[in-house]
Amino acid sequence: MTQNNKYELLAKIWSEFSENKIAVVALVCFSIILFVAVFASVISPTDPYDLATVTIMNSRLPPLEEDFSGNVYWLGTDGAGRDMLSAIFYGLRISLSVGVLSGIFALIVGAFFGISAAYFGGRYETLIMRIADIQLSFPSILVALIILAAFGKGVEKTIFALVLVQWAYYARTARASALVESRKEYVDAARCLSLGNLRIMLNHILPNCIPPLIVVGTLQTAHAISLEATLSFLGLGLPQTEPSLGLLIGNGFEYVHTGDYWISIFPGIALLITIVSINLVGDQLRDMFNPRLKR
Amino acid sequence: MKHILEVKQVTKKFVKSLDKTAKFVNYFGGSYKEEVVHAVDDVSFNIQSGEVVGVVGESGCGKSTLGRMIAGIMPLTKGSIAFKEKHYVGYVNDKYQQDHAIDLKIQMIFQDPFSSLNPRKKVVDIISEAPIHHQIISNKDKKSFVAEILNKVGLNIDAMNRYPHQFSGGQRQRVGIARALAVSPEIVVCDESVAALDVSIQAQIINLFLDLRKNMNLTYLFISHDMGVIEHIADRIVVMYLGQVVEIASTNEIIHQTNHPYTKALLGGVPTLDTTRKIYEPIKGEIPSPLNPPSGCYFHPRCKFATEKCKVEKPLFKEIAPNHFSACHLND
Amino acid sequence: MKPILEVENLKTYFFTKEGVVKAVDDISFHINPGEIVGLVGESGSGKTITGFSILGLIDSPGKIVSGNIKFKDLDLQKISAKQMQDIRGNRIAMIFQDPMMTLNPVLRIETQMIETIKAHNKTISQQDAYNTCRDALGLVGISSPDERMKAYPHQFSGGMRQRVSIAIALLNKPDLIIADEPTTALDVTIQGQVIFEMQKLCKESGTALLWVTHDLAVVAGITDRISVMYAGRIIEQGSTDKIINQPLHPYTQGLIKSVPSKNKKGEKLHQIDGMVPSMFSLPKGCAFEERCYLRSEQCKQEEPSETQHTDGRFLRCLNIGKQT
Repeated sequence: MTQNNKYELLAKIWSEFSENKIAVVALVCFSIILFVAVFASVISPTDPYDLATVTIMNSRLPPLEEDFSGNVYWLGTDGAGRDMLSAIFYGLRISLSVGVLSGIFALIVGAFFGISAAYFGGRYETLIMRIADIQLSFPSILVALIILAAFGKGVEKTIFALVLVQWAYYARTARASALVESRKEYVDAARCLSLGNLRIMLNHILPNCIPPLIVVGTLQTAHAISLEATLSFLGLGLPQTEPSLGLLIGNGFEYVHTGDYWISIFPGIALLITIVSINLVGDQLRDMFNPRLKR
Repeated sequence: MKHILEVKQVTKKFVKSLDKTAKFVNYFGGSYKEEVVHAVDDVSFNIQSGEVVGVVGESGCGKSTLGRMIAGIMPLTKGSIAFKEKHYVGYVNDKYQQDHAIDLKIQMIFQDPFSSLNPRKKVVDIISEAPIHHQIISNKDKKSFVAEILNKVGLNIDAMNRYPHQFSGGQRQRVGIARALAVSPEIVVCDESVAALDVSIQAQIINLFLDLRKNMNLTYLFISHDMGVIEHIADRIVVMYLGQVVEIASTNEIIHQTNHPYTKALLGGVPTLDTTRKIYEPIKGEIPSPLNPPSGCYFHPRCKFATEKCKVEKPLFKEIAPNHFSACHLND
Repeated sequence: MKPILEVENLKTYFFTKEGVVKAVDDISFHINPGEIVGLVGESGSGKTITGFSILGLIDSPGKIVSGNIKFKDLDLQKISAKQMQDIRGNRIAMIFQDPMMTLNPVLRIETQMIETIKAHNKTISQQDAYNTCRDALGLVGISSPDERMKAYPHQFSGGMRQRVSIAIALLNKPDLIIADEPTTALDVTIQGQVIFEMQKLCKESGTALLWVTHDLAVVAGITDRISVMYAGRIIEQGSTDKIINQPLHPYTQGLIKSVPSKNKKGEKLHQIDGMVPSMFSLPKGCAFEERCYLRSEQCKQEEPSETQHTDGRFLRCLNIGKQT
């Protein structure tokens, strides 16, 4: 039962993960989405933001229609004549990057505060956790809206808002884990060996808190993507120059009433698939790590 | 030098202070009290170089807390500890000081082989982390240094690249011992270090302790609830009850000239491999809660010989025979 | 006298992804009415699984593969789940090492105890049940039982909780109690009390007791007979007096010699070198061979079967002859 090989460990994780067939399907879906997002510029049939090729003559073509030059638009075109399929590909890229980036920053901030709170305890911990609790009692959309209303639209500002909304989840999870780890004897041993607080927190406690943080990270990323979509849909958040899926849905909304459903629905479906697949993967990860915290 | 370690009137108090609600209620005539636990209450004793001092007692007696204070990982509430006659940790003229240069000289071996090693670190890193951090060895000497120490604790060299979960309880304890030895300590505090091990492995680890004591000139503070083990390896025994020391003497005297009634009860209650059907004469009563210790002598509610004085007055900790100390009114 | 419990050739295996663990591999022993029998072994020896197997508490991936468990002529493996339910807690009771495995932290003591009685006696009145419970608490040495009945488990110390578990085990006056390390987690002075009470109660009510533990010293004082387990098998069993004072199997001898009180003070303790083999890869032949001072070539090839020694005890060893 020796697992000194990293590959053996990965194989073991995979075999546990694949016990849930649905999660495997979700993972495959998400991998495709990730691939599309990363290689959007390469695999897109057209560049929907190249003003040279986009013409209003092609606007509002339904799915599978041909235009005058013979190009087939698989998912139709929007009000400005942009190919929906390509727009969705680029939109996925932006949605995912904003979602993942904000997730990573929130994780760093949250883990820092959560672990230090658990380690030092006392008033510091109470302060941090109260702030986190207060923050979590506000609906995330409300907090994000307030921030964006105050600071205006923009990619950095959106990411900032998303980080501010999410850090508390990470902090709570990190603190719960770190509390358990801090009481373990190997932390006492590290103190006995005078290893210094920062080193102990980074080198000893943090690595042991990673599994639950990964689970929260996955689920929170989905949440962040959906939150950003909402904000963009409402016209806040990302500017028109960075059209995420939310923005596409928003832009296409006015056409729904006139029957040109594809301009809104298809980005919506893409968003849905993205969020659901991330959630399913996250759920399976959480189930895997649950009774198996004793690795 | 007389003593390698001097523990002087060391006390550890845990206080659960009143929260705002309780203070509020008190303002209007309520009587919420702070919860105070004297985990360790005014303990003093000395350790000679090369000695094995056993600390024995049951739950709530404070032996683990005392061990942690001596190892420098739990701050003291009162008193001080001196190492080789220099102040180490505690209050000096009402100022709390800790001499960090001495920290590495007193190391600790823990009870639970499963949680005392970081599950995500390889054995080689567990053992070499502190020496590298404190610049005792350099990174390139890591492997040879660890190999030597593994040899001393009876582990194979190929243990280096493995993770803790790949070892058994006894082997993990050896890794814990190696980790402590890596910084060349002079005093080793063993906090129930063999309690979680099977009997046959326990014997191996105890033998290892005895070997290391000889080969590396170590002094031990051996904390345990297992009288049998302590009787075997300790030179002197400190008996604790509810945070206080009730008796200190050489092992021989503790066993053959037991003085304090609690020590007698402790010795009497230990099951031995004696098949003549023993009728236990258990001492009555439960161990009192440290939150609410009895008045006078803490042991009086359970003591066969308790008198009126015992209920009211705390007995003094006195020398009743050369190097034999006890806290009992019956000695007056 | 017919035994109250007869275990014959019991095999309980665990079928895991990493392999088959033969946790209990062909053990046989019996308990007579009113007897106290010790089942001794270190971690991984299979002693706890034996207790669970008797009570049908083995869950997948474990399974009783073969063997008989007969309780008063009733084959425990062939009875229905309902019949087993009737026996558990009623005719055979169990005490666990951690009293919180018996006690529900959110229920008062009286609720739990009365529930135990009513589960097996539908016609008893609430008051009678209450009185029985109160008396049981008194029997195990808990003072002011009426107050204690209303309390929750967390308001008790470890020793008291274990005593409550013992009281619950005794409530329905079972014929057999299986106690799995009941005093291991208790302080020495409390351990003494609990051992004393269990011994007294068993003798008074004629209840048989199977005391499962790793602590030889505890069983030496109170048992009539001892079975010693190693790597899933019973390697020696016989009267307590013989096993403790004249152990024959090298493992038993090693165990007894390693106890500190059997060694000269300050000298190195006798130790059994090596470790228990991994249960996933037990060697061919005798599992103890690597660590045994009596080992021979034959031991590597052949697994010893249980044979009866001239003095009445049973042994699994190829090298201790039937003749003394």
